[in-house]
Amino acid sequence: MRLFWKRKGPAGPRPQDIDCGQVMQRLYEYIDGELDDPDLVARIRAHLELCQRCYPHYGFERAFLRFLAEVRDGAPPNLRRRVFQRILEEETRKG
Amino acid sequence: MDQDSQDKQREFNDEALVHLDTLYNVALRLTGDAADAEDLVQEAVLKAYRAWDRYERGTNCRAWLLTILRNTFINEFRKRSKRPDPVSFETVEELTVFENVQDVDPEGSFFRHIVDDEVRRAIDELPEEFRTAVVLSDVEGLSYAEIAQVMGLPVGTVKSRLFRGRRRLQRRLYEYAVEMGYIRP
Repeated sequence: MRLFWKRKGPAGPRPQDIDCGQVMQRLYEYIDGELDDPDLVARIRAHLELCQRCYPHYGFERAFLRFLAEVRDGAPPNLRRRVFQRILEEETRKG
Repeated sequence: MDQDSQDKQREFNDEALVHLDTLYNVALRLTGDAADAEDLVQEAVLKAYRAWDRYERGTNCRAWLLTILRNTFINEFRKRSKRPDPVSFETVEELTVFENVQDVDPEGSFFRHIVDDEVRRAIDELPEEFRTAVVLSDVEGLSYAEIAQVMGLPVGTVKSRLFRGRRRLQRRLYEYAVEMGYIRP
């Protein structure tokens, strides 16, 4: 694993505190900001900053998720009008 | 119309109907058809309006509405859905695409060449369990806890569905990019 380290890191969690397999297992949770444990977040961050294998993978997954976020369809303009109409009919029916 | 009805409509408009784009987008990915999506949204919104007195003020209105939408889809729309049967859970590879592209396109630039319609098609081909989790998370930005509420699942199951759904979708988009010559296999 030592071969993958880019350079010596700052004080704090060391990149070898967590291995590549564990980082990959929690990567989506890390990207999604869904990890509750701040120590785990710090360990993953330290690992990613210095691991030449995991860091590009992290960038790739982020690019993929950013790309997905762009595929969004808004409601057609007349749907709002139709929804209002249904609600008005409901109120009229109740009378 | 009496004052109570007017107040109810105003409040429903301000708190619930601001999420109409989200409801429509999710409905479209659930049904795979624009007309069915509009029908589904109308049904779900009407149910929500009827149940508005039972909505607990100050809680997550978007997740509440999406729960109604998804349940309406499952109970009333899934039978007439035009989409083909999804691929079986076991037959699709869920390895990361990064292993395939790390030498030629580690930054995933090939995604940029894929047109939106192809992405929609790939999402629509996911089995419903994965598709709903991916759309709620990655297109609509819901948290795992919100998705768990909408799908009636434990958070751990949401994580697993999201993981597998994303991997499948990524693989499908990669295969398309290879077919189209956007990336070398």
